[in-house]
Amino acid sequence: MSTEIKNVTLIYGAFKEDFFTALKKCQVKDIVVLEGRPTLESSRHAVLNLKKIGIIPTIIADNMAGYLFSKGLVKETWLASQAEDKAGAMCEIGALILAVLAKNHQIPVFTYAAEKKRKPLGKPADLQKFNGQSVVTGKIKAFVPLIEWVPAKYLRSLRKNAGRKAISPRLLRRPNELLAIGGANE
Amino acid sequence: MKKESPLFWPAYLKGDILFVLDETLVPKQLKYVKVRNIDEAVAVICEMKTRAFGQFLVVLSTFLLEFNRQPQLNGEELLEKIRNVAHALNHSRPTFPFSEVTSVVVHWAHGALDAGQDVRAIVIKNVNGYLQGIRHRRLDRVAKIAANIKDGDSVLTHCNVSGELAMAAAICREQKKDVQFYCTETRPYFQGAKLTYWELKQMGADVTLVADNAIATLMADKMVNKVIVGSDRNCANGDFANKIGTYQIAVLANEFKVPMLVLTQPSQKIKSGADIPVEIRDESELLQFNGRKVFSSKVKGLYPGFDVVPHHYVRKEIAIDVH
Repeated sequence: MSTEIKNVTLIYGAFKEDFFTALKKCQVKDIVVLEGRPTLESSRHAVLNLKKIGIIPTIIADNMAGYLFSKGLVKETWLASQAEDKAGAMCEIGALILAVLAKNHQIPVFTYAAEKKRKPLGKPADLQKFNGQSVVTGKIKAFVPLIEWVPAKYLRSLRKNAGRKAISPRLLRRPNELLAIGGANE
Repeated sequence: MKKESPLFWPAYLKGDILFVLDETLVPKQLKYVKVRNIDEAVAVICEMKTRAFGQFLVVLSTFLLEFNRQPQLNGEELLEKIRNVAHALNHSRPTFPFSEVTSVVVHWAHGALDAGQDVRAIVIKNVNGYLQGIRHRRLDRVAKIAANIKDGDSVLTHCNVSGELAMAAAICREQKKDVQFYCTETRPYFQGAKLTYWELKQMGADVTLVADNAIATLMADKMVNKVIVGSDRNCANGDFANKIGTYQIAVLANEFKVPMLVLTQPSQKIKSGADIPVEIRDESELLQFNGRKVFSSKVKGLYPGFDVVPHHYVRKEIAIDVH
């Protein structure tokens, strides 16, 4: 168990492959990856790409990042961004939590291009399963945003056009607009 | 109160068997595990079959259970037994202040022996009286929670507060308050998805499930205007420990100016959150789900069971009356 971790790089989202090449070049070793509910797609993507460069990451659940920040264990945070402009970045849901935590603990947050676009909203059924197995059965009411807007004030660096502009960022900054695009979510 | 959640009082003693609600099976099954001795009591706590208030119920009831099992013990032997039971329970999970409860029972037994009284009768009477008192005080707190929820509120909660929020939601409903609840999944055991969502629904509340990582969007977009969480351990300065994930909710609530209300059990035993030991659980509980690996490649895992939240993030404590 990696209870001795310290000075870690926290990465979140499905990054383009060259991000991992850069990590190797920079000799970054202690990496923590968040699960990334509901699909876990981004953490699996990260684990596979980190394996290619010889790094075994430490996995935490999405609700455990605060613990690492509160213990002073995080040295930097990287978010995969799907689109960026001067006002901020569109990232995977959960990125804003890390950005706010980082700001609160004076830890720098950087963005790097995401490997692919994500749709704005998932379905309630996405929360009924974990790792392909049932968590809850029956019809549930759920809100399942898959992306969120991280304002520039939380980010150390924003590179213009670094992410894919899959969907207009203007339309995706607010969850209510996501809801309008995605329709009813029950 | 019309309805009571099964999670509000999830264990009961019948003869020499303690029946404990297996919360890992809820809502699929309401199954009660049979606990026959101290080892089995420690096991249901360590395996998280019971948690939060259920643990305290198990801790106190285990003394009665052991008494019922061994009617032949004299006063001194009972005191020794109580000390051994207390020791085992105190060391079952490090973050919980079980010793604050078990030391009271030891004190009762010691006092009865010194006074030449019937240790068994005194301890049984006091434990039962204590439990009755807790029950009434928790019901009082349910009413306090309901009073703190206003018409039109949208409340975010995390993990599970052993029936109290759900029963408060039922009161709000009776009072015709229009209230929306959001509950987090609460990885890795999904207590939010399994317990909180279910019991709020059972009480007729309007509840929406969200992933643990969706809380910032909820707050940034003003979809919630209040956070209500429980606490597993409280400090003299107002710091508290609660389920992992609570710290980041607190930081976000502060950032987005959402008031955070915490259900507390006031205690002066420890000064501040820095003195609370945080339990680090086995990584397999994070890296496997229902016995199946989450990642095919080799990974490490870190599973801290709790967060410690500084008091300055708390807008209001909804305390249980401890006097």
